[in-house]
Amino acid sequence: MISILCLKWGDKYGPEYVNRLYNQCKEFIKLDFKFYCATDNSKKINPEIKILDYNDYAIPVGKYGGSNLGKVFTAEKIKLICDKRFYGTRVLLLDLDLIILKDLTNYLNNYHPNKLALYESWWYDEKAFKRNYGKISCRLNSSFMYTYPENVKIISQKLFNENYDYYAFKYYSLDRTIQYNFLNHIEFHKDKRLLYSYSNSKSKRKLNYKVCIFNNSHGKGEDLHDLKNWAYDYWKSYD
Amino acid sequence: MIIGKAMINHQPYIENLDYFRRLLDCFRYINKAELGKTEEFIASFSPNQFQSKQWLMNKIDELNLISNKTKVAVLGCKFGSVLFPELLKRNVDMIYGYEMDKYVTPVSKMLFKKFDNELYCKIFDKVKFIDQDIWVKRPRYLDETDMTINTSCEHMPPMKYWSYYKYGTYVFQSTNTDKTFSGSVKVGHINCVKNIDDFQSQMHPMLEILWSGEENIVYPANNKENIETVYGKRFMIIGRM
Repeated sequence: MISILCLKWGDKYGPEYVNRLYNQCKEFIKLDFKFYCATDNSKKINPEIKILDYNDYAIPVGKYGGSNLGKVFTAEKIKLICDKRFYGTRVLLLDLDLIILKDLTNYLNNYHPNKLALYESWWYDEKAFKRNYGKISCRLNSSFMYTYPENVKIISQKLFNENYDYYAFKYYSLDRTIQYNFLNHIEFHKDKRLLYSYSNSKSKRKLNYKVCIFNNSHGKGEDLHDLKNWAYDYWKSYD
Repeated sequence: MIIGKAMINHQPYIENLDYFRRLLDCFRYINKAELGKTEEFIASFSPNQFQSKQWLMNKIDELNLISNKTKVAVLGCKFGSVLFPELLKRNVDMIYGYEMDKYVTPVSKMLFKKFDNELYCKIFDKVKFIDQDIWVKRPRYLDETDMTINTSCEHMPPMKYWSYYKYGTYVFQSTNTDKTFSGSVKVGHINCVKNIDDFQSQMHPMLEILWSGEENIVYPANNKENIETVYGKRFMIIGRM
């Protein structure tokens, strides 16, 4: 069985993001799964979706301060994905701002990650990555994480119990913190046609990938609800 | 070496030539290995680098803090392009350079590696680069050192939070510049300070401050009047634990 997870807090994204993601999962993942949303506001979320309390996954403020309120932005995802309640299942954690374009059944069914599986951001220029190594650059993406929750225990322990204050000050995002500190504890999805980034694609067209991420949580790119093209129509069709 | 103020002081020609050859080797290596570090390597020899490192060395000399027995840890050392030759000129016993950028350390190692068959390169036995984030775990070899230099404080949290202090002398530098001379954002400057008081507030309470001060960062003339341009400030604190 698969536990599909998402997080919604604050008011950046409305309940339609959760509901449409759920409906896409029903269409493209023909496996036995349960869909959970950890949120601080469950109003208007489809009652078929299991609600979790966001506060159970809230993350601390680092003692050193820094950007992003002194937090490792979206580190809640690590707390959620290794929650013991999901032991015995595989977990798929999806960002809200993505759309599923093709069937994921075989991919998810046949893949048994040994570690936490993230996606390598092939669209991020490798030269720029090397040039800015240790600073802003990051070549991995946590929008589509897949694993057995037991695999993530080590990351959770190191992230929250060892140098959290430093990570919050220096890297202030989950992706960057993983990039520079936990590469040994992750693996990359092997399907090169799994994910592409709308913000980083020149044509902004629907491409031949299984999932399109919008990755706008860092203030760059565009939000699905602001678009006036195929992506919005597609997303809206999952009401 | 005839680049900048720091290296002008009468280096024997043969040593200059050797360092120059090493620089060429580094450029060749950066290019061949596609490390993407050409601009950063060039910038490590910029006039303000010479100015701030010369300022640091002058103060260390004035305070008589260095001898041929001194073992120095340099935190966030990048290539060590300017500071390390200055320390080697003073015949320090050993330099440990710590740098977390894995695309930088191979270049640094090449710049200071020992060539056994060259008479004038024995000093390079005295340099060791360690590819390590000095905030995540205790820096290797730190217990062997008696002086710690960190000229990259703007790239890391306030040093009062650092967990690995030991007995010895400490030299810290930071800056108030979060933009480049041309106005674009300085990538990685996550902890600029406003002034020397601000910088002192970031020091560990047990650090006995021996000297502190500030210096204008001056860019060379780029105009007909030949007037140097003040771009920002660097701050320095020298202390003892």
